[in-house]
Amino acid sequence: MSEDVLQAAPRPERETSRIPIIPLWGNLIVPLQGDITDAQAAQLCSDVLRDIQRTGARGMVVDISGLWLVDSHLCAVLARLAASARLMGTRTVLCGMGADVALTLQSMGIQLENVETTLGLEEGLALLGVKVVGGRSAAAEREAAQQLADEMLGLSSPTPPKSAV
Amino acid sequence: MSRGSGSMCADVLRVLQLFMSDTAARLVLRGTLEPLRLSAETVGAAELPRVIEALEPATRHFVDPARRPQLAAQLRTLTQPAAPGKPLAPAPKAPAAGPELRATTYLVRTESDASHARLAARMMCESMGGRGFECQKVATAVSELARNQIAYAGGGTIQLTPEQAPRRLLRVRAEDQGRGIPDLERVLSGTYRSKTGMGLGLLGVKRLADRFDVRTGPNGTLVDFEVWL
Repeated sequence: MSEDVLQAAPRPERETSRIPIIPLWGNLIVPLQGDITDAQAAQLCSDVLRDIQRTGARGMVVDISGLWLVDSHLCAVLARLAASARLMGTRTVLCGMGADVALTLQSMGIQLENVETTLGLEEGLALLGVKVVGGRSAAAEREAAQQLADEMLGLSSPTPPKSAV
Repeated sequence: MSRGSGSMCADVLRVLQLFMSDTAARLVLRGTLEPLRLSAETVGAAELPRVIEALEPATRHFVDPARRPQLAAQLRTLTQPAAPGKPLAPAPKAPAAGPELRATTYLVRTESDASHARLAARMMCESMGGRGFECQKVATAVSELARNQIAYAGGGTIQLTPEQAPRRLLRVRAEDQGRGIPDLERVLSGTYRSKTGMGLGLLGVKRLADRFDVRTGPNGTLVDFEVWL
């Protein structure tokens, strides 16, 4: 009986409000953005754990750089998610916490002791064993972008290719 | 009281940086000045309208369509001469400071009410000139208090009061007609653990506060919370 009711019920806005879970090189990336409702958070937990089982992901990075507010409830949800994933054998890394959010949580006495954290997504993936080949550091990227901008405006001449030697 | 012409360009750049990366902002500005045969040093108040007009198409590729009107408005504020003795920097804050700096009460019944209240708290703090951490504290505290009201008291009200004198501060008063907090001492001592959270909601708010007071009884709970700016 109850199954019939469930099937008949429409599924409004569920797909649009769903938080994306991105499989990447054997890991999952979960970017959190904006204002996350409790319903979305609960949905996320079950979706992530199901995806871990389905894909056999070895690790997961939860990126919270897009969240403007993290309170004790959301921390509890994230801690529970990490603990559940660990029970399944999957390592969770939380990354991208902003300075003000970190200061606030620290002041409140919220430690998130059982969750590993990194500064950014790159460091998070590195912690999970993803190796970058031929990549450049963020500072080098910035410098290169700046140089390209200057070149495009004719403010500096392009550096000669090294193979000319 | 005319500003130095070099700072004129710096102001434009500062606005652009709010909407795009530093590199893109510099690229757009230089790419705009060059065809106008201007340089960062020669742009003064007289050239500014021309520069801003030329910036409009140049920024198109870098700025989300939804944010373009905002960018245009911010650039236009640069053309208004700064009042004597009033530096430019606080100018964008001044218009927002008017209507929002009144005590406001928010009814909290649902999660979206709570979300609305904490956003309003952050905006009020920002328009009072609060720094990032202070605004984060206020918004987080409002979030915790609203959450408690919904979970334990069937809802309540949150009042935000900005004070300028004798001290600049933002006061949050959370009031509900619930059955009260049965074991307040244990909650505030940190030994309590709620089923759903970490049991740190109210204690966390206390730790964030510059002044904190809670009165609770069988007819309701009143939490007073202040963050000094």
